[in-house]
Amino acid sequence: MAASSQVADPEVSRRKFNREVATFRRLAATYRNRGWFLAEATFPEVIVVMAGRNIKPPALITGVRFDYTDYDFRPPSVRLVDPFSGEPYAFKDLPTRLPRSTGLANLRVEGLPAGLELPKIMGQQPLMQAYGDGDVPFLCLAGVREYHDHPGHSGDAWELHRGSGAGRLVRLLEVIDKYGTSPIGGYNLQLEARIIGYTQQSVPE
Amino acid sequence: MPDPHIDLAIVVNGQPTTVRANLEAPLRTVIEKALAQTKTTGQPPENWELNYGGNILDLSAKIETFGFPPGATLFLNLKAGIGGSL
Repeated sequence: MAASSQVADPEVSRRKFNREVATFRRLAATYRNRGWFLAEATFPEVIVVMAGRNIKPPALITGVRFDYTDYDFRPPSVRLVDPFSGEPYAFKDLPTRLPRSTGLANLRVEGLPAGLELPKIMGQQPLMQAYGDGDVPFLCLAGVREYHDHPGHSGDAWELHRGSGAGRLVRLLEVIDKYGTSPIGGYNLQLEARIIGYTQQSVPE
Repeated sequence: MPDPHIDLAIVVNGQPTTVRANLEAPLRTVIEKALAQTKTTGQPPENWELNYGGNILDLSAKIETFGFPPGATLFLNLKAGIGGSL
């Protein structure tokens, strides 16, 4: 994937990029314990591979590609990528959509009489968003370039979040860890039964 | 009389700092100190969460109730806030 063209002073962005990488490396052993592995760091890109450590055998859940072009004049771009190839996942292939609980909500069923008490259900909304299954999704979160570039979020400017470190490498990894890798507690298995013959109850003389 | 304070290592968006805290105080009191020490601005303390050992901590609980061992490292992270919709 080609990096975006740089319009801010590249030395400033490079220095801030180096700070992000150095900040990560300072606590790299701690992050490794949490299943975060720094795979690549060459300006302006960082790739971190995140593992699910709560499952046995542990698994590489996703790679995360950050593009710090123009940082921090602009926020970083964030994509979930295949940890082996580095290619961004299409929405339908995402290993996790970063589901976030929206709390209990009333179940709605059309056509039922008004006032009928229905059970509540736990709602959830994915932080990874796309328009179609084949599209490359983006992390819909303040501090992420794709979020601030989206016309639907023009009222929530990057400048409102820059000072709080919303675009910092570790902060974004924390969000992906919280909603993506940490909640994974096991494997979903699909077993397919196939008839391969008969069992014989007896063998007559 | 034992020292009623504890030094907590707090990592703010990846940036480590050490905060001296009163064991009798609620945990939320360390947030403002950690943000100030790392010069992190722009979001009020209630928009942050503390993670220890993979668990989000109750900020209203007294610090001593957590029984943090020496050298415990807490992670102070900006909450996800709004998001998740197009």
